[in-house]
Amino acid sequence: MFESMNAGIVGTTTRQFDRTGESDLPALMIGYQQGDPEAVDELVRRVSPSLLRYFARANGSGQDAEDLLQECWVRIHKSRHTYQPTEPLLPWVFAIALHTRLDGYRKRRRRESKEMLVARLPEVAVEGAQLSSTTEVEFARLLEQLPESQREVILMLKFSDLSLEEVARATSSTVGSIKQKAHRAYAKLRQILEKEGR
Amino acid sequence: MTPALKIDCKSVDAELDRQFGRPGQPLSQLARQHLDECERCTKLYRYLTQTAPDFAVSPELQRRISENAKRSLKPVSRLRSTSVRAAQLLIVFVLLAAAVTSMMKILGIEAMSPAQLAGISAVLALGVVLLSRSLAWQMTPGSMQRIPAWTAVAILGAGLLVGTVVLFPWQTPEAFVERGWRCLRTGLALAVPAAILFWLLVRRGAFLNLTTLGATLGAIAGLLSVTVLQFTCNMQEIAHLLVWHGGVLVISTVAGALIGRSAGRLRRSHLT
Repeated sequence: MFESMNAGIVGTTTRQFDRTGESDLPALMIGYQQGDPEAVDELVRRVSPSLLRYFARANGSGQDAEDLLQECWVRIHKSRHTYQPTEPLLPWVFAIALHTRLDGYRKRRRRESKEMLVARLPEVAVEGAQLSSTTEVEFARLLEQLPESQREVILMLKFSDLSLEEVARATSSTVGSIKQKAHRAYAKLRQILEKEGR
Repeated sequence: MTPALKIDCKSVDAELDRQFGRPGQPLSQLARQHLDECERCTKLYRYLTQTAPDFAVSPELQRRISENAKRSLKPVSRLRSTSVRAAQLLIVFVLLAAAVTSMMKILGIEAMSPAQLAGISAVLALGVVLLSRSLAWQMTPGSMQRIPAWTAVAILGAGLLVGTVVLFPWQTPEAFVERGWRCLRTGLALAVPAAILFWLLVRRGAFLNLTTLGATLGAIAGLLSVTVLQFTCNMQEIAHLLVWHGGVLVISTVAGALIGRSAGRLRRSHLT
């Protein structure tokens, strides 16, 4: 039975970030460091979809994702001299993205705690940010039940398409710690699935 | 759940570890068999490996981001490698500690036995290597931090505690508060400019967590003070070393973390 299903899952799973063209990303970043405008355009074009997906999924709505994406690029621009060509680029980018998101989240939470909610405005969704299938809606709901640290690891693994080592780099952690968090998250997700009789 | 099933579920976990970041790899025989039997794992595997839809970034937004970047685009000089940065911090630490110690009387060195001197110097050296390495890692986002910053601070604290207890005698403290207070004041007075100097050395880095940065800077500045006190103070006994010399390290680390936290809040308030 699983043979056919596996083909369905893995066969169509090109996974989110097109990693086949990833090898030239460091060269583009070096161009960015050297002040090449074409490298900037290309890097923004190549990396932004992956960042936007991460921000939209992590926030649960697309409302702030575009703002976070712009803020993240401002920070990437300011920090561009710290990128080392011998290191992989994506963990460098996602480390900045992670902290942009956390800062945005904390700022929003503080703002919301000071504001009195008068009326809820309709959410403005980013193009493509809506959860497109029932499975995705279910998965988003499952993720909400995970502790924050485990949720962050799963989000980065699934939506940023990073490996365990790259997530460890992006979160300033160790591979062992990321693996442990991921395995705890799998166990918790299994428990929830079992409880809900799925 | 039977133990056998538990082992098989773990085979799916291992499979997921392998697949993340390296998609399209064939499933192992064990995982394939288990996924045929376990509906729960099948669902989990599907959720985690299913393609997420691509996110279209509007050309307008892309153009705005690019234009913003290009407005102040100029060549930048890259940071030196992590090893070079760590070595620079280490050298500055040693030179500064040596300079300040030489300006004071080396009563501590005279009061210690060769074993005590060698043992505590090894602990202090380990601490400065760990902290300078940690600061160098923190300067670059996405570096592989083999020892996280807080772990480095904890190792330093534990090392000093154990080293002091093992190497030094417990004696009835003489003028405990009066003499201790003097050491604490001297230590803190030295830690403040040291922290500023280390901040100047690392300020080009892109620090993501300012609380962690503050704690590490506070710890390295505190360690410098502890080093100087260790070599210049003649009260080489456990209570004095732990309370007053150790106190400098604790206060400077906590103060650094609090300053870093405030700076982080300030930075967030400027978030567009």
